[in-house]
Amino acid sequence: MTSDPAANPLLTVRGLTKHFHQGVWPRKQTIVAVDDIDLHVARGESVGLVGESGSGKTTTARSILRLVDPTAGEIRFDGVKVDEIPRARVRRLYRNMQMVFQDPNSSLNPRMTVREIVTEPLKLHLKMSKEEQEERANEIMTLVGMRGFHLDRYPGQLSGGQRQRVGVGRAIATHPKLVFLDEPTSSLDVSVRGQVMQLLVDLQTKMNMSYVLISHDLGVVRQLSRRVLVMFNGRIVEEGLTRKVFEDPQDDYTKRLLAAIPSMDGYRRRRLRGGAR
Amino acid sequence: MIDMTADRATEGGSLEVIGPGRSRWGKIRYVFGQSKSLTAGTILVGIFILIAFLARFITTHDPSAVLVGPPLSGVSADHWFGTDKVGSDVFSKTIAATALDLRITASAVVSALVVGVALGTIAGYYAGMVDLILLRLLEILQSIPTLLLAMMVVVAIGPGEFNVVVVMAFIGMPYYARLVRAEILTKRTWEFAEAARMVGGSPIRVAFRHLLPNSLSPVLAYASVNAAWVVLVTAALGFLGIGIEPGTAEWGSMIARGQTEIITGEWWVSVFPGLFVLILTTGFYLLGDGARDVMDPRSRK
Amino acid sequence: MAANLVEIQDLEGYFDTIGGDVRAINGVNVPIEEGTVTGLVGETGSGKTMTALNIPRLMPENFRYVSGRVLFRGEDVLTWPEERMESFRGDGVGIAFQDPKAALNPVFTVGEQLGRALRTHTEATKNEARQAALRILERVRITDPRRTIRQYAHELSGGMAQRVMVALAVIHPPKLLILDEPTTGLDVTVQAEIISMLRDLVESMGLTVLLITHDLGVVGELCDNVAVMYAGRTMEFGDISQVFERPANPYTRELLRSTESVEGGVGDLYSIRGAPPDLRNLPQGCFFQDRCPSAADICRTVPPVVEVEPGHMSMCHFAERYHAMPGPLHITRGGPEQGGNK
Repeated sequence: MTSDPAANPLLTVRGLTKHFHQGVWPRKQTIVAVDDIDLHVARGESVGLVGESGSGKTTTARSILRLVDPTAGEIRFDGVKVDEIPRARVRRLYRNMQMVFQDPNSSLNPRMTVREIVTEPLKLHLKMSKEEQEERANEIMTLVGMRGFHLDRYPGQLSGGQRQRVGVGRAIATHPKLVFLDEPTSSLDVSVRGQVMQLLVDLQTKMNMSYVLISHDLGVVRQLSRRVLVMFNGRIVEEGLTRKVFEDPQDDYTKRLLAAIPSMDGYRRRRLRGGAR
Repeated sequence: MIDMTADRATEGGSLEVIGPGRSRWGKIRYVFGQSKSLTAGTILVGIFILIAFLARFITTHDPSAVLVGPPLSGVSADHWFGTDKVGSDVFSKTIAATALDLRITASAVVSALVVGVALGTIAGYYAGMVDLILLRLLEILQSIPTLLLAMMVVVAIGPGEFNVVVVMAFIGMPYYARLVRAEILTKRTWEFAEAARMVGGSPIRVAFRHLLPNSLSPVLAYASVNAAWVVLVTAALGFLGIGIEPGTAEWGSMIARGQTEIITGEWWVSVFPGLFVLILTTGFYLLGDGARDVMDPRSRK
Repeated sequence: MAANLVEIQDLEGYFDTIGGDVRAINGVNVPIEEGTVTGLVGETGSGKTMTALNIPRLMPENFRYVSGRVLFRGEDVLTWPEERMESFRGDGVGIAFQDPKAALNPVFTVGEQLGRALRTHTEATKNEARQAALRILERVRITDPRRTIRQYAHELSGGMAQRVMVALAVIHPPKLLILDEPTTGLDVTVQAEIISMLRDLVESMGLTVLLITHDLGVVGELCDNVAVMYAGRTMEFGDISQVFERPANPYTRELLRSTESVEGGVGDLYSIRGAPPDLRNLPQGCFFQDRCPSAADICRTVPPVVEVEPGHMSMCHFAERYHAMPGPLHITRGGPEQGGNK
């Protein structure tokens, strides 16, 4: 465990647990999606949350964001006890806590222009006037590496990379303090993936935001997060500085995960073994 | 499966992608090229709408006047569809009825759509209890045979154009509600609904501004089928003499008035309005069918 | 060099869509050697799936051919009558589709589907089919074939469904097996199992495979030859070590470098600038010119296909020059071991 970022935490999570109920009485089952998790994120820090499907990484993020209600646990964000906010007021939380979704194809409303998409949070969270919104919309376009004329486009008229830039632009529109990145590049092609990752790195330093990066892609975590938590079956099995965890994994599952990544030099091993021709 | 791969290759080759490659006219031609039913339906319905709007200029005689010619005279240059037993011009009456029937259809469909869609959106978005109650109410409504229900209500509240519209809208509404509800229910967990909540949208805003516009395609296709139904039932009510006030030019009542003459050989009194009903409903069905084909290529074989 | 089972030559075609003509395939040349695994690698819209679908002729209705041949043992498949295609699909070429959960029939059990796949091509009895089904499920490493055979698609996990999909395709082994993104959407650990299963299956059954993927790691693990596609063209083709270690095309080179940076997490973040061209509005000449580090005036003319060494082709004006450069990859320079590789 690293202790330094805990000095001035932006987000502290203690004992977070989430159960889902499945089936109908009398065969009702309880599924433990997240099991007693502790997590803290310092201001300006980027933390990776790694795991496979069913590991609970997404549910963890969704619980912190109150997109689902946690079963137990304490969530403290920027001095506010998130778990105690009444349902009706959760919305206000999102001014400072945002999310970049996995797939811009399904997270951007196909019937809204880019302008409508990026100004919506300005109008609803910040109650900006039309003129302020327009000015800020242009700023956001510049920040995410796009141009003013893109504001009039629909998501369907943009490339995959541009769509995700719009997704990022919407998330940072209100200057949030914490942004959850849910597999932010997994729907993008490799050749443009690096661009979006670079954008995220640049924005973080520029705007002093904290990131929680949820990903199954270890390469992405390695490039974006200083610290990493490995999740398996709803629990955190390993935690530490990304470089350390990747170079010298302690937990068995982490080791398996790292070894499983298909690698481009696979053919060399095969040929050494004399397997393939 | 093949369609899916095609979509991928063309970056979503659906209607949503408007590329630079075709002019507006080219796009319209392309869409109609996709479906013969859509083309046929649009033309048929289009002709009727035109007739309805131009009714006053098309009619050769005053449709409500009697004895504009000898009673029960056959098809002739002066009376294209002949005359009925009080000597009214069948052609003019049929044309005038087109305007009335389309007006009823349009009003009924629009009202049913608006109310049904609103209810369906709320039910779908809130799910849970609200949904359950609404759904059960709609199901009760739908379990009564529609024509019977229409007859009962019209008899109860009395005839008249407005009443017919209300009844038709009331009966059609649950179908819209259920269609929209099903769409919204599957989409409320989509990422863009969640994203909409996170940009600060209220539940109403998320439901109506974000989810609804993306759930309308099947509703619009259904509206055309619903329109065909309204035309038929309006005619049926007219035929039974309980729909529109007696004496008004309306297809159903015209058919009813001519039915005795069919036996004696004066077929034109009933047949022409009957043909109009037939052609218009066919047009609406084709339009709805074609629209569904074009909006969802997977339903095509 | 062994004989080519399939050879796609100068294939060109487009989709007739509402947005205009989408030029999905613009000059594809891929030889598929008998008994090898050939990778067809490319990004979204590169035309890799469309290229493969030309072999069983399963192109969507709105696809229009411009030119090209798809030779199967020297005969052009595109000229065959539809009746001949029906027996060819399955016997000659089989496909394991991407997203197996959607491709499997939801109303039949795994056993029924396997049995039917076998019995449409052979005279096997019900019992023989059942035995064959059990054997093939074992070969795709399903732990409890007797249980799986009675299950329906929705009861299978993603990895299991993928295994069943492969089993369906090889229970009556086709001359050419097309695997469309066999590991996409699976968890990393499951993906590793599928890759190792496929490797052994291909080796033991002596299959000829065309593997469609966007993942260069999967190519590295499974392929003997690789065709790199971009905007509907084969940019480079060759033996995997030729292509990975001495790429003769700037796109391949840049792709390898960004993959290593993004997926491997090695070195600084790296990506190719810009975005792939719009298939409705392709530039004159080379399609990569806008993003290429060495683009010159000459790139506005269509580049030639250059054979830089035997069996290694590149579509670039500067192919020779690129081929002479040291490869971009960390691994080939024998640097420190990449994270996660044993």
